Amino acid sequence: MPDSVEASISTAKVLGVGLLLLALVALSLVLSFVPLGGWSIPLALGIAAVKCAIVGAVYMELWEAHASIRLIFVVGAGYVVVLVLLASVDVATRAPPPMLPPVEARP
Amino acid sequence: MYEPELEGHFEDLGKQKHAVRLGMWIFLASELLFFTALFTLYAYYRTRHPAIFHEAVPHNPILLGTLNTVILIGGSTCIALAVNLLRRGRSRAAAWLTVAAAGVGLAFLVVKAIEYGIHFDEGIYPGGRGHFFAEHPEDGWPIFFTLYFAMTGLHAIHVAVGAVLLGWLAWWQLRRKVGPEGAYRLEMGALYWHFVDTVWIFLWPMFYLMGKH
Repeated sequence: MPDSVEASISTAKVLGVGLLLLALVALSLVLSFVPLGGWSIPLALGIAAVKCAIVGAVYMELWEAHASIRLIFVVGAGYVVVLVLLASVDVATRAPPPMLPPVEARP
Repeated sequence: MYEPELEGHFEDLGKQKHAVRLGMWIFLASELLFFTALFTLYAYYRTRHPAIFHEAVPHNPILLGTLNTVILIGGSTCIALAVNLLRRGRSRAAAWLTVAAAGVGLAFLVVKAIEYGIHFDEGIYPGGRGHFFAEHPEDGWPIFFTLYFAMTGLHAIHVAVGAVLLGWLAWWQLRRKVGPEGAYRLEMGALYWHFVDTVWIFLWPMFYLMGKH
């Protein structure tokens, strides 16, 4: 194999990762029917983040990627987290608008 | 046999392939920001109308959503296998796995169309139109379903583009003799496909799981 061709992952590993992802899908589905109260949303998104990390690390080969490529991934993912968190916190911590007394119109 | 051509401004093929890969990742990061605007809207409105979003999620058919998740993961596995087989010189197997991944994309779109049909039957249309919203007059309902149609619709457009891209890559592999040196081209298509899969990995819990079941 020429030097410019990347190393390949074994078929067994690719299939194993696929089965792992399907197992996590099954786990997410089962947990969605269990009354977990306030934990249901963080768990659902947490499992999704784990699946994403597996796809990114193995299938998208971030695990072996050049630092410049990993930097792009980190910055992109970082922006998602920052924007989503700030939007949620903004709404959750807003006080209701003050009721101002009506202003009389000038004659 | 396909041989990549070295462009004049690169010192060697390794550097050229790195530039191709870097360019693809920058494009994917820009696509991620495209979706992030909608994810942010979802987070904002979910925080504003938590009870309605919780009630609305079960109106999306969980079995069809889960089927689509399984379909896309299967597609990602197929294309990951295809790239690795092509790197080892098994070009015919890689080509047919690429065809399978493109077919998976089409299957996803069929299931999505069935799902949209179910919503239209229930009087749920984009933009809060339909008799469903007359029966559910609170603000959160049209917001939830408009976000649902916008995000899954945008994602479906990306799946359609991905299916066409993989179909073209499969045709290229079947038409020409492509060896390990051509694997990086297939890898770029695979990167796009995995990105589309990761977006759906988050859309699935947001619209099908995080609600009252």
